[in-house]
Amino acid sequence: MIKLLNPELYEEDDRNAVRLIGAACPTCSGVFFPMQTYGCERCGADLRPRRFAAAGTVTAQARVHLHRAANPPTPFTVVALELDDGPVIRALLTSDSPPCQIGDRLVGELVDITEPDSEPRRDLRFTRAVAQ
Amino acid sequence: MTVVLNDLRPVYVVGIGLHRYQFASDTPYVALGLTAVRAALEDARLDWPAVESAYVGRALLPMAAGRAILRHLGTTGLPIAHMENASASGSTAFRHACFEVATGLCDVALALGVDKPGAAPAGRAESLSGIRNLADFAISPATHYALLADRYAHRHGVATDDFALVAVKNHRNGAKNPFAQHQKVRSLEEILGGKKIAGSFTSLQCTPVGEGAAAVIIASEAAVKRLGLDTRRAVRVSASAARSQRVYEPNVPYDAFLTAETTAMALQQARLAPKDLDIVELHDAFSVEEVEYVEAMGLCGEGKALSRLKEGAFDIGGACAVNPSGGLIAMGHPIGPTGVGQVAEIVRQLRGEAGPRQHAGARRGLAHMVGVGAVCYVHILET
Ligand SMILES: [Zn+2]
Repeated sequence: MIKLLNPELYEEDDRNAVRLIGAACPTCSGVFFPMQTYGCERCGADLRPRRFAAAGTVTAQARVHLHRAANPPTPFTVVALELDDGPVIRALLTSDSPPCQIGDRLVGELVDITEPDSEPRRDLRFTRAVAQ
Repeated sequence: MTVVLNDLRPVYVVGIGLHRYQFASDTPYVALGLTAVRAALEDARLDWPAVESAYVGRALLPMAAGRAILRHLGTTGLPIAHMENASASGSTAFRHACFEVATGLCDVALALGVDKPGAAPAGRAESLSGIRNLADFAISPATHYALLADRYAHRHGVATDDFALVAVKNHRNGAKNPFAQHQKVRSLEEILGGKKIAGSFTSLQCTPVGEGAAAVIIASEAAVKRLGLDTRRAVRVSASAARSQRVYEPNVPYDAFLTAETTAMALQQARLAPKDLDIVELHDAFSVEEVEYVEAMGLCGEGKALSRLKEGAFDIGGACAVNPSGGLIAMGHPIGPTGVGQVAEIVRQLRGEAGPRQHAGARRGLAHMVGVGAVCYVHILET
């Protein structure tokens, strides 16, 4: 299996579903992404890891045409999405996702981002969920 | 009990000076800074030894740039403090220079903003925090604000192309400002037809990268009298407010929320309402910001900024001139100087010395900066 680029941010369960590794605060009940061990942003307490489903609703999107770094290659689309489990995160759309707009449903998938002459890697991208 | 600036002894801006904001050049930062400070001293008709304390705002230059500049005015042994607060570095330097005079620790202080891109490795400390994220490597400031523009357009049912009208106004103002990086009137078609950056933004709706310097001299009433300065050209600083970002509910536009909170604090200190403001210099690094912030400040109702802009309410000569300098979009945003340059523009307007871009009858002005992090700084000046 190809390694994950950021295994501290997401994982694949035994049914191949992607889960985000977020955090919940036992003191103020806040939920956050990603997990970190420095302290809750709202109240300062120690956070505990909590897994979130990689599914949510678009709250904003932007097609990027000019980007200083070579990675990711332009054009690409950045989305802000509200996860079904609460936190708002920002992520990249897969290059073959249908265009999306505010209110659309997105689901996460692990895509091969291996670059030439480098170790194979998979990273999390989102794609527009098509109604069944 | 705590006090605010307005409770302390009055402080005045008595001198302003700038080095034009420009694209990166061979000009050393020392020359940029000295040009601005010497212009501010000349404007105040003040000799350098009268300045008792210096605050230097910069975010791109490496450590201790201020002493390397100020020693060429003749060393006096004055204390020098460097301020780094991202885009709000200059505003922070100004705030603390005002406080030092207002509290009576000194009578005359300098706030200098100076910067030069590429002089040191740039970047945000947050990227070194050890906390990784999914897509931060792909999200530039332009993309962050393009996401906000998408949400604003959706929330209020407006066309994203209308944000370009902010750039039309600010380029028109910048064309009349000899210190602006962009000094050219641009049509809506030219702006919309420019290079696409992110979302609805084209290059002329985004602040340019550049260098420059801005300086202001702050003095107490006692110093104005003792040094024989021109009281008619002294502009009082009546409020200084600063806040930083908290955790908000999902989908709250936090940039606007932070601006609303900080502006309300400053207006309360100065005992003013938004309608009392004649001039606002605000952080328009990207066109949508001006739209969000004029609403957050209370200059118009929620969702009304674009219609008020189309009516000319924010033009020079309108209800409140917003970014008469050209703002960050046209005057530029060399980082360290920007917040100090806003104060210089407001002082020029309140003195009635802004020439072809003078907003008639200007008596009260507000300067607003945000810096990544995020922080927000607001100052109010009055004649
Ligand atoms: Zn908490």
